Amino acid sequence: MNKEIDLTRRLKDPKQKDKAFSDLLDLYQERLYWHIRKIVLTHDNANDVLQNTFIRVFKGIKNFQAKSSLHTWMYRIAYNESIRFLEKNKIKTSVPLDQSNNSYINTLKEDAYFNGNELQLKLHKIISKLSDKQQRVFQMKYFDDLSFREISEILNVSENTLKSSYYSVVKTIEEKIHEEEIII
Amino acid sequence: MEKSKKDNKITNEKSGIEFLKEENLKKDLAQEHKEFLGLDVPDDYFSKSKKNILKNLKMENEQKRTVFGLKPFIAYPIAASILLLIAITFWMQNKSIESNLKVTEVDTIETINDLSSADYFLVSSLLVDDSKMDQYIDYYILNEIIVEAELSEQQLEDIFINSLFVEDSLINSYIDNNLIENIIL
Repeated sequence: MNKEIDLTRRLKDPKQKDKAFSDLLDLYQERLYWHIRKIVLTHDNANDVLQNTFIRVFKGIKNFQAKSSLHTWMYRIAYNESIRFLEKNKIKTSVPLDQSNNSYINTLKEDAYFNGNELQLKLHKIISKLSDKQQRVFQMKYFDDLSFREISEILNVSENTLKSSYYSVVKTIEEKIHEEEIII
Repeated sequence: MEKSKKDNKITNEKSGIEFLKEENLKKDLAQEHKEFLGLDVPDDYFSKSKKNILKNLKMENEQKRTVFGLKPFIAYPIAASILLLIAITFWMQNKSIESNLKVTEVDTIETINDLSSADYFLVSSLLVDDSKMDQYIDYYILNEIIVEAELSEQQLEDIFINSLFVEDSLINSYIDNNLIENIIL
């Protein structure tokens, strides 16, 4: 935490900002990239959103009031930029259970940097059937290793709702991963 | 960032593959995403991405400086344009003053032309010789009386003709008003 406070101070100092921002990239670039990638699915899209995210971070750091931690703030920017990207490009990553979602899987398969085997594709199919919020809480908790409190700040959803949602999703995935075929 | 205390385990018994997270192992994010989700990145992507981000930010900053700092080859033409604009504004203002003067002169001439008969008499009498002034005055008065009488007669005729179109109940007030007007004027 002290490291983060020190980094924030340096980022706000015009003389140290450039060096501090370089350190910030070293610390958070890869984490934010994967957070974004799981939302927008393809590498090229994730690259675009990542660039925009860090430009926003750079411009907005002078107004950052440390009401949340620095990395929660950046995750929230990354999340918002990803959602904005999806809406702008009208990419649907979730549909109701009774409807098919070829868009998610097709987008994934078209990406040159998706090399998933049958099982990994199966997992993606299960995830695509979840609601947007369920997908995000599962990805952030399971893969990004964020705490429920942090996810609550990013998604603006109560912690209790997130906890019940997350454990329900894990159970669903455990059940469905055993099915012979996932119909999308 | 706090790590989860629980192990999250999703198992596919049939294929024997485990989706297992061990908190003691240092997380290699790229490896984890490749293994569990089949997501890959180009080689050396993150170092190139960092350079790109820093380059883009530098370019944005420089653009801001050039716009507000104004390099000489931009500043001089802008300054010259502003000076030219000011000069044109002054020239236009002077031009409008001159035309105003001309208008004033024309107005004066028109005003002189629009002099009433009495004023005309006064002005024209300046050109008459003193010895012939009496004759001039007689001539003018006679002229004026005759002209006025003719005009007045015409107006009276108009009043009576127009009264034919006025309702009976209003006719008295109409005649009275118009006669009064006529007399006064």
